[in-house]
Amino acid sequence: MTFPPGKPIFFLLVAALLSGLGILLFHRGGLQQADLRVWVFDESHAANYRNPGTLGSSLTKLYQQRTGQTVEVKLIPSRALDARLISLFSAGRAGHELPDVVEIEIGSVGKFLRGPLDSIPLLPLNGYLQRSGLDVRLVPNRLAPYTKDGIVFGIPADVHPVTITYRRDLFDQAGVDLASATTWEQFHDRCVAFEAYWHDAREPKRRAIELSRTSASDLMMLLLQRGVNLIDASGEVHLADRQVASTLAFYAQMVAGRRAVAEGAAAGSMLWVRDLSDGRLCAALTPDWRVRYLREMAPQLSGKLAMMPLPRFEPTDAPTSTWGGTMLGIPRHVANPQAAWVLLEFLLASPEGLAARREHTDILPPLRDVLADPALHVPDPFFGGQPIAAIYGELARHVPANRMHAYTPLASQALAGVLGQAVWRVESGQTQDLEQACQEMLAQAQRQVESLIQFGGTRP
Amino acid sequence: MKRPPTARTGRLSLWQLQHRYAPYVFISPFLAIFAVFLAWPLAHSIILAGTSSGSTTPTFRNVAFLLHDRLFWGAALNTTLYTFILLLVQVPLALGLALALNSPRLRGKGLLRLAFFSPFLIGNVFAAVLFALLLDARHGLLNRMISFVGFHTVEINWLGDPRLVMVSVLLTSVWLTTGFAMLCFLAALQSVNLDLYDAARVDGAGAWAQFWHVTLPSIRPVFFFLILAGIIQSYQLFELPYILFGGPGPGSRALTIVMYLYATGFEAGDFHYASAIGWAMVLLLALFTGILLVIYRRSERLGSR
Repeated sequence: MTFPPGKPIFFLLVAALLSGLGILLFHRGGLQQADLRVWVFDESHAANYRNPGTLGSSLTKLYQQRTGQTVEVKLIPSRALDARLISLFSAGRAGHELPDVVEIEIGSVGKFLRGPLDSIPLLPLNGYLQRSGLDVRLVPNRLAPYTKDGIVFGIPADVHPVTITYRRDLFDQAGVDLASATTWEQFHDRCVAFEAYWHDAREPKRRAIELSRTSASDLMMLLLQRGVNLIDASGEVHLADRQVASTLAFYAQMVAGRRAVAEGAAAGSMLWVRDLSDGRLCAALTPDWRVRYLREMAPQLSGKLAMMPLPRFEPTDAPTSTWGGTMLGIPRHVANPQAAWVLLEFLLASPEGLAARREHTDILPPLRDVLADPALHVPDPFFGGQPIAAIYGELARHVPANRMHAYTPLASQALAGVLGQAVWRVESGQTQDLEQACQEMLAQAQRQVESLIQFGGTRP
Repeated sequence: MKRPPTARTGRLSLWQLQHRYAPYVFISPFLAIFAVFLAWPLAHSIILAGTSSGSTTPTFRNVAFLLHDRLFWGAALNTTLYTFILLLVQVPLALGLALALNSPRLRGKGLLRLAFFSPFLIGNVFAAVLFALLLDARHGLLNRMISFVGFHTVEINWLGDPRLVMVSVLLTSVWLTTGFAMLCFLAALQSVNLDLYDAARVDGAGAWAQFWHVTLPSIRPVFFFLILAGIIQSYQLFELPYILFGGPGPGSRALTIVMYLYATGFEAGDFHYASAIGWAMVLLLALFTGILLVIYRRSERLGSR
């Protein structure tokens, strides 16, 4: 038998037919698989929902037993998930193409909350919150990043309070009581003493704490502790605030110059654990999500670590800050919003959901009753017997409100640019009038971000 | 004389009809995909660039803002600087490697060719991940090698020092792309007419004169192709600095045009302005390509005289 156009064309046609058939079968199967779909961006979040653990069944199976509805959990990397949502939302898609419940990373939230309230592609959840009673259970400040003009578009999955974890063994050896520092200035002085000791002990490259001198993320945590959001709920830019300049000037002298005590962690997502383990960096800002990495990747540090709340600049500052976060939301045009809400509530706040979370992560839920649970007061041998769950639980109540705006990432980049210039000034010995110089550079950065926001025509 | 229509001529007409339209039928799937996934998005991006959020009225607001946007011009400067230095390093290096590999005396050419070309196959993302580890100040292999050679520990902050940002990106890019340029040069060198060298030798030309008057003019089209492709590719720089620095890098020295486009479009959600940035980049590329073509034509005219 011959095929006139030739063998290659024949094989191409067969390959096209087979792959088309495969896609058709797979696609139809996919649609039939689940009644409800959840999109998550982090492997540990997916594991929390999918893995059975000591509950005997996974959360999705337990949900099916309870409601008869099947649930599919789809793991999509954060940026890909963002891109898919943007495409679906801008195309105005509705119904089965959309996930019923979707996780969005806190840094990405701003762009989804752009524009007028009725154009936001997420479902307003105030009514659901009130009816379920979750509005009184949730840590109020934690709703801030996902709220616009009083309308809640996402439910927080965490609080992520920040502490300082430090190598108690090395600080003890240096005779420095780090935990007694209640202000950042005291903290800095103790770190200087710590480094002086290790310099004399022929460990000149041992640094007291991990703080980045290039990215603004650590600095932003310190600013948040002082109640400063780079862009607030009304869309005002606060880069040129006096507090920002003074914090920046202080921070620059912690990471550069004669009294530098900090350095960024090695490149690579988890090399900070190695730095801490090697004793190259002896303390680190530690939200609850970082604890798991310490336990899993540096078991040799067991008993050598201690944890303390953040020192403050002023007595009115919070004893903690927050780093990272995830919200659970429901797309506005989802097929069955009520079913999606029931699933969301089950995953986040049901006894089964909370039990699964306890088993899979150290991340505390944003529920006030759970955070105040006496059961959290369990000594943790990894941290020398400190009840770290209770420490996080207590600090979670003080977490400052973190506002997310579409232009917050650009404001953060602008701040990083000024930080770079401040660091350069400190390194070249120009510390006189540093705060004033920072103020001027920040004012320029503020004008730049304001013009972008004004031009973009956005409100928060 | 006109032939009357017959059953046979009727069948032929059908055959002719089929011949005339068959090509269109064959290319129609491509045209449909091209229209949906390329032509329409391009046209739509022009509409987006010419309008503002929540409005369909054409306006030059985006263009006017772009002309005064310091972040955009900072990104354009970084990208242009990167392109210029990359080509300045990559092209001579690739040509040198190609000349070495073209030498009849060299042994193990196949292995060397593979070694130099293979980085090109692995892709930007992998290269960036690899170099983020290699260039790390404390644990990176590069500093360890320098320490080993220099007999004392050095911790050059390749990824944290604003002055070294461009160097780090360039190191990665040169490693990644030189192999491809080398292969193009090698193919061009192997197609140079050997009689020209014989004639040059007869005329008393030395090695340098042969290179300057025979080799270079013969490989000139490849030379210009590589510069043109390099400019186009360099202006699309995004993944390398984005992964190496997790953003625009210290002092925003690694902010490129595409990274700024990504930040305004996908982080801030302003697709109108992002489209304007995209089209500004297209215009810049068209300008550089135009200049390069003029230079190429002039050099051809000069060469033919």
